[in-house]
Amino acid sequence: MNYYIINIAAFAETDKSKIVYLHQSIDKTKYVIVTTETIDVPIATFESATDLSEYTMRYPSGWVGDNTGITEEEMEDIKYIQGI
Amino acid sequence: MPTISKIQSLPVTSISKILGSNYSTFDKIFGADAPQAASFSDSYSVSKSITTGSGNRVAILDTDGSFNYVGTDAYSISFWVKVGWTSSLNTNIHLFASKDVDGGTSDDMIRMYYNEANNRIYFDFRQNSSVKRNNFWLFHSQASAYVAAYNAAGLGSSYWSASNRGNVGDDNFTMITITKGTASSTASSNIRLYWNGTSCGDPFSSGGSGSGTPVMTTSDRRFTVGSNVTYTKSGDGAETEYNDLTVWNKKLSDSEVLELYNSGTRLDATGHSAASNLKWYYKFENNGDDSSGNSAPTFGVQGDSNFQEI
Repeated sequence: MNYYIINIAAFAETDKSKIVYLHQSIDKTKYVIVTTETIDVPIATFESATDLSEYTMRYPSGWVGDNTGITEEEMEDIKYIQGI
Repeated sequence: MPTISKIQSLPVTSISKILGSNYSTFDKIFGADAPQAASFSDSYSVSKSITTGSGNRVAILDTDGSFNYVGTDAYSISFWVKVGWTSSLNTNIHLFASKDVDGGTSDDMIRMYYNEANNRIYFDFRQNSSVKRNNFWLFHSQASAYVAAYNAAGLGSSYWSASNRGNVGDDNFTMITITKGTASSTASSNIRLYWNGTSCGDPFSSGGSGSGTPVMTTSDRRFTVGSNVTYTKSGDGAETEYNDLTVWNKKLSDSEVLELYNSGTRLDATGHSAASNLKWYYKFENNGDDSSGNSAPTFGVQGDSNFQEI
């Protein structure tokens, strides 16, 4: 599994069928993405769900409205559904 | 059918409903005062602060096994909610959550949360962090698989928020109910979500999602309203209000949920046709006391959370 932050242009090029979890930033310019695909030019790459979660908790204001961050369990449980 | 032969001078103005009464032994009533039904006042709700942490909780820390459902128990949990969060919440507001008082954060968990980023309500129960089942309903699609939830909620194509509460009952409160059967599963055959008195149809995954089959224990639980089990994820913007929380030890039927909704006017649940299955009943009438008659634990309402006049 791969853990990234990517921009809108990179998201447009992703294989949507390989996305496991997707979360858009509050300003709608970036995505947290968990995918089986390898993305060449991400904004940031993380080694694990733990690392990615900790990043969003250090900088929550860009990602969530309640100042908490994205938990690992959210990445497991909130399934990406293409087109919905 | 036995009939009442005569009633005379019976004040009935305070009687709202009589269900299932057997009149066969009545022959005649003269000048009787109607027994005074328990008065039902509905002037307060409990308002969960957007400030978080244990010092601002709305919670029960159970010590007598009052809420100890396991994976194979049937139950229903219903509450009224007046949303305070904004449409840019972009996270999961927890409507209720419970866990083992002493265990890890996922141990013996039962919870419901609104995933605002995707406009879904999730129901989730767990034995622990790795043995868990969940499922969800989404509200913004009119595709045939989701149209029941779309119509029940009435949110249209927008997210649920203080500025888009969808279909509501009295005082802008929505009644949300989850019912679960005896399978340790979140399959569509075992769980139902209701928005007010209307079923949201089948959940997203017909077989449910997760891993393993939660067994769970009968240990005492922490039960929170308006936050997750670690007292965060309470929303943003303005406080969200909750009212008339009921827990039933059966899977309520469609008609029983509709009866509880009572056309949008909160009723005294002790007069519900399934009242014998009522396990918890919190009216939040300026206190956290149980009104089920089962002497269930009292809710603690702390810090910035408070009871609020409707």
